[in-house]
Amino acid sequence: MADLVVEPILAADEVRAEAAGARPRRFKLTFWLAAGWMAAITFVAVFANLLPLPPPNKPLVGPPYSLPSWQYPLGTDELGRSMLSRVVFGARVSLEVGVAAIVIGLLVGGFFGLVAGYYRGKLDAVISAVANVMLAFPALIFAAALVAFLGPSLEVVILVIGVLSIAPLTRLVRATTLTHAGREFVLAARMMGYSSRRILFREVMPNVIPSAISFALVGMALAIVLEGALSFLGLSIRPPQPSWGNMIAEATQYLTQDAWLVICPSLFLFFTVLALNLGGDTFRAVFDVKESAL
Amino acid sequence: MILRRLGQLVGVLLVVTFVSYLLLNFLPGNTAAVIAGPYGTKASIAHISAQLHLNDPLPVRYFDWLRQLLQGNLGQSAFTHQPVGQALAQRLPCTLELILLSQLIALAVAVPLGIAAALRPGGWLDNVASTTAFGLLSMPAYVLGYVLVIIFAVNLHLFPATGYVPFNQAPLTNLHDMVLPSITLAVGSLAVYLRVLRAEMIATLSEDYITMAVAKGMPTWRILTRHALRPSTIALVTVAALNVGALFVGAFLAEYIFQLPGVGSLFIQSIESKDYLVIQGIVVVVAVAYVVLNFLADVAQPLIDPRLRGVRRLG
Repeated sequence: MADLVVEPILAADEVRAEAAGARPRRFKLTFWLAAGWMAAITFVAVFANLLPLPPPNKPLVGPPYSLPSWQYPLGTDELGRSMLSRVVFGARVSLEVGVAAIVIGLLVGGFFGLVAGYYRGKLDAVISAVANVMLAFPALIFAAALVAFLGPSLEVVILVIGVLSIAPLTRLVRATTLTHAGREFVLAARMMGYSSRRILFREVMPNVIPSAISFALVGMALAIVLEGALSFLGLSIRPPQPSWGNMIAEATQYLTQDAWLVICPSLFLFFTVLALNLGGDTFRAVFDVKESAL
Repeated sequence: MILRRLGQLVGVLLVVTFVSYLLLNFLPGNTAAVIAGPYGTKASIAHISAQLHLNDPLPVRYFDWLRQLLQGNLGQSAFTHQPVGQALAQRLPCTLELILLSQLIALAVAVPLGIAAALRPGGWLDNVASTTAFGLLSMPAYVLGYVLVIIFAVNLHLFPATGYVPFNQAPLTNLHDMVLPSITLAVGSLAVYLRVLRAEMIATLSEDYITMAVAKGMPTWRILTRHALRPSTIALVTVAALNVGALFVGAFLAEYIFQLPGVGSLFIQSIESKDYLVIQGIVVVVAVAYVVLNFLADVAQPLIDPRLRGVRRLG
């Protein structure tokens, strides 16, 4: 029985050795699947208008409640609208919100995180305190409240999710900056008389960027889930304009007639979020290898 | 030590309540007129202005509001004219029951599974559990909830998709109704707890004192439960406290999906009807709960792991 416990000790060493880069690092098949999915979704979302699709709001493209077939690739909904077209235009909303919100979060949160982690002291204390307070508000509840006060529109949703992503990104970038700010190359740069600003942006920042990308991918997944939830509650894009969240919400009325109408947008949402999470995970693994190899 | 922490807690609570208070200032135009709605009369607008002290400077207004808050007075609903505190108190049992049940489910699954996965990292059980947890983390509550409804309510007719009876009226019916909502809410926490516990257990099991216990010939289950699980619980408690926000969000969505009369349904109704004081009341209660629970999780750490007591005293 005792060897049951010895085994994890050895295995833990193995796991650590693996993280330290003892095994050749190589992207797994799942990573390529995720990357392929994201590339496909991005492509159809960007070129949605040029693709040979019926308009997403055109009723009676086919008979209502058609199941997927050659003629109607993802079937039709309760009004006979093309599900494929609606899902593709819905992808547009999700990606737009995901990318725009994370860009806001990365620019603002990244800047505050770098400054707090590098200069530390009082500045850090203030920035960290503000970030901690912001984190006390659960994202969806605060976002829903803000949207309710400001009035729903895509711009408001992007802004609110962007602002909400500032605090977690500040914390993560600050933590990464802290580990790099004490390294030898920073000391060397300081000895050579470089200005703080130059050290921060030319020496520290390039080292923070890989992990920031990993956070950003996971953050994009969270932003897409959040937008989906707001859409689902009727606080983002309003029907008939399709988004994955409001497609799910509308289809729940027809759950007993045609469950596919709920499942189809749910699958797209799930695979996109899964792909982004996988991407973030892979980036983190690769980045850790690089860090310990230095 | 504890006094300084309490001071910090009060400071954070002040800021958090202030931010919640500021929400009202986001209303475009005349706050009182917006709250009174399109059918508000001059008198009702004046009444709301006086009630919310809208003519005073901001700090004065905030502290007035805070004093009312501490007395449990959060204003009243613009539609039902029910005091917000009373509305919350009515709805809270349902939400708390949902959260409690979901946490019981999540821990009942995550703890044994996390230990088993940590025993053989890279084994088949670990691979299946870790992959499933990763997949479940990518599934929003509003997707998972309907997947469960389609399978267990629409097709198998095992559990109802909607319906709620208070626990003290019909306990069994209540639990039966709560199965699907609790699972919907449990899954997110379950995946998080499983991942954290697995990682912590793998790290703990490679400590010297575990090797020592193995060398002494202690039975495996005793090593796991007495020596390894307890220190690993610290990370679990910290993560569980940080998870409180996500838990409220999940509970609100689950209530909406399964039409349970909890705080979440009240919140979403209030958003639809633009009942601003109710929204504000819920935001402040949830944020304060988050801050206080995280404070408690922090304070509880030395109680769980005696090693932390010495460190604290030295530091």
